[in-house]
Amino acid sequence: MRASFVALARARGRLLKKRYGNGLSVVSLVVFCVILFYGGESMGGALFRAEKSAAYLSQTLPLMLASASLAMVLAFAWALRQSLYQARELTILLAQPVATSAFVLWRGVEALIALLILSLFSGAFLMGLYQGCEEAFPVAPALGAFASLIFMILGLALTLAPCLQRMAGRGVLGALGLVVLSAPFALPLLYVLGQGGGMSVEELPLGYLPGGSQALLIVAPDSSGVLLSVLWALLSPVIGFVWAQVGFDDLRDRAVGFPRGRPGIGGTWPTYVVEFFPGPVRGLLRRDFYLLVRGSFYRGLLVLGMLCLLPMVYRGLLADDSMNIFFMEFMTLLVFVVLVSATSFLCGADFPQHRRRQLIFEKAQPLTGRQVLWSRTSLAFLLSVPYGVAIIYFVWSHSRANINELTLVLAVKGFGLMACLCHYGAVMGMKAEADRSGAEGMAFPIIMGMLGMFMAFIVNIHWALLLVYPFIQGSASLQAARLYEFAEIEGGAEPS
Amino acid sequence: MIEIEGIKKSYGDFEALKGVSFSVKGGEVFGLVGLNGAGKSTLAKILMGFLRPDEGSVKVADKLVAEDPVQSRRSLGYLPEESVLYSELTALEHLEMVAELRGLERGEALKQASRFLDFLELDEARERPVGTYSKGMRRKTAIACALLGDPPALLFDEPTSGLDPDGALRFSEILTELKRQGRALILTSHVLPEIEQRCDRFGVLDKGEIVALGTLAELQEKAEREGANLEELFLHFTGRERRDARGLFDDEKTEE
Repeated sequence: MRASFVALARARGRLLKKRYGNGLSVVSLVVFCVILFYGGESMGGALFRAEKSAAYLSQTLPLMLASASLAMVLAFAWALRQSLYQARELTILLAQPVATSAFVLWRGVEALIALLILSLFSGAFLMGLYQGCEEAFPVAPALGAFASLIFMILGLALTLAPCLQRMAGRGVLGALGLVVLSAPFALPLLYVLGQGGGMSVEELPLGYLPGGSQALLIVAPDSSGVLLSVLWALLSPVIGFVWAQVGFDDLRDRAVGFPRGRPGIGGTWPTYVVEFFPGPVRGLLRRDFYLLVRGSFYRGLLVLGMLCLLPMVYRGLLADDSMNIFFMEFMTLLVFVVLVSATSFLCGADFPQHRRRQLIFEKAQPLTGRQVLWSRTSLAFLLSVPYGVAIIYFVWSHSRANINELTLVLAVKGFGLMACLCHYGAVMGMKAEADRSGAEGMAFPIIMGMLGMFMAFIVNIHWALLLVYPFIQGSASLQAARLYEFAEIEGGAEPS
Repeated sequence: MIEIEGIKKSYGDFEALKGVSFSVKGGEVFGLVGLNGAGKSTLAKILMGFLRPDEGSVKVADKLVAEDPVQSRRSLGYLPEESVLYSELTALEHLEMVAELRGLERGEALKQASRFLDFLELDEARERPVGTYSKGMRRKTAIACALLGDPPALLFDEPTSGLDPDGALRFSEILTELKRQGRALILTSHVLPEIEQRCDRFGVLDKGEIVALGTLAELQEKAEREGANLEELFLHFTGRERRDARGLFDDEKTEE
């Protein structure tokens, strides 16, 4: 068993080191933590001041943390999909005389590493939140501990999914999945609905949350209790995984086999969204929607899910009565910029990179660069629209009349800005793809952010200034289209 | 239909292709054979417009690939060496997508897609994600995608790789029909008996050069080996000989 584990650790460790063991990964980790820290700080402080403190602590904060917990759960599920059992090289590893227990143990190790990284993120966010609003602190570890239970259930559910599907069918499995994913919201919602904001927040961890962490907090309601609960939160999902796999050796083999069945949740509904586009653009959009809703691009789905927080934050910021109208408009457009920077990066650069293995399939078709450009622009725009609508809805439903009046103007400016930036993202992504330039891809968010801020500023002066964009970007657009048509590509054999 | 003229391509100091020329006319099946690294894949990529040649030109249906890759792709169906499909899409969705990307009329394309899936015995699995398919089923899906839209020229790279005997026979029937329709076909494969059986003319590519070109009879005449099969001719033109594996696992012989 020991020899098997060591061999497995070496083989897998070498691959992981090759994939992630570089300076860029470390820098990205640190930068992301810093962003989360300052994000938490500004969100905590600004919302606490903007809303009345009691309403913030009893309503917005639990929901915000529940959303963050859900994001963690999804990220953890994604990380586990990337871990040993789904790994392509497992086909080779399984052919070797490696003990099953070594596989189980090593997967636990990978789960722990993933969780440690995720806990760094959540830790940075919570520390920021604490910095911005000290009163928020008691809620955080309690919800974190609750999320750990969800992790544990998720671990069991993922591992036992093939058995459950066989016993109960896909429908029941899907329903169970929904229950698990909605659980992080259930308790805070019950709390919010039950208390109406009038109850002390200290009652949340002690009275409403189940699980081992709660007991630890009761036994030691000081910093050591918090520390222990955090440790438990880290270990429980790993324990859940290891426990779920003991005695289910055959599941290991089944986990690497192909799932058999029809496409489930994806269905054919994305077809309706793209039906009005012309032929080839429709074909590309249909493919992208299918791939998205069927979970081919988890990272994108996670980001899109997290973007739900943006309108919520915007709503909080809008509550600040002291802001003058010019800055309120500018802030609204900046929120659009943040939103579109994310979606256009996903659709213009990240998603094409994610499916580059199939690029040869796409390139073998008689597609013009312009068609590809429009499909990527449209995808980013379509994905951004719901968030944009939510932002405009908050403007429309605001209690101040002088803000309501701006709804139409802000809608024109916001969606116009959105269209321009989606197009710019697609242009830049195609140029980076043709140049096979990772550096340009990496600078994408920075350049997009700078351009977005500049455009938000000029558009805020007058919406008609948006019309300048086609003149500035026309030649770049043609260049990107031509580059796509003539760019050299690698064959289909490169790893995805 | 397909004209390849003086193609040269280098990667740094390495010359992958050293002036390759041949043509394939309508109703002809051309077999391209070569060792690993001989330049077959590079040539296929240049033919598709995925790579630019350093010198020379490729024409498909009288259109220069380098000048208008999009139009030339409209005339050229391509089956890559690996069936790079989207695991989350079904076979039918792949065919629908290809039909849309090639600008085909939807109703007619779906009818054609159904005929292909039926012939290739994928009809029952048509609405299952490709990720649940076996290698052979994925290959059949990729073949159907290449055929859709009736391109006048087709390039099949290792077409029968992963196909079961029945699938390979069905593919052979497809080739016969395509040839009867007057399409220009290029096949590359490492399985020489298969190429010999299915192709009218052959090109032997070795170290980036066409070292032999012609029908089987012409190659036999050139090699002065009457009655030789393609395998023997291939070894002759590439300057190789059969190797005996007896004793390969015998330690004593190795020590000797």
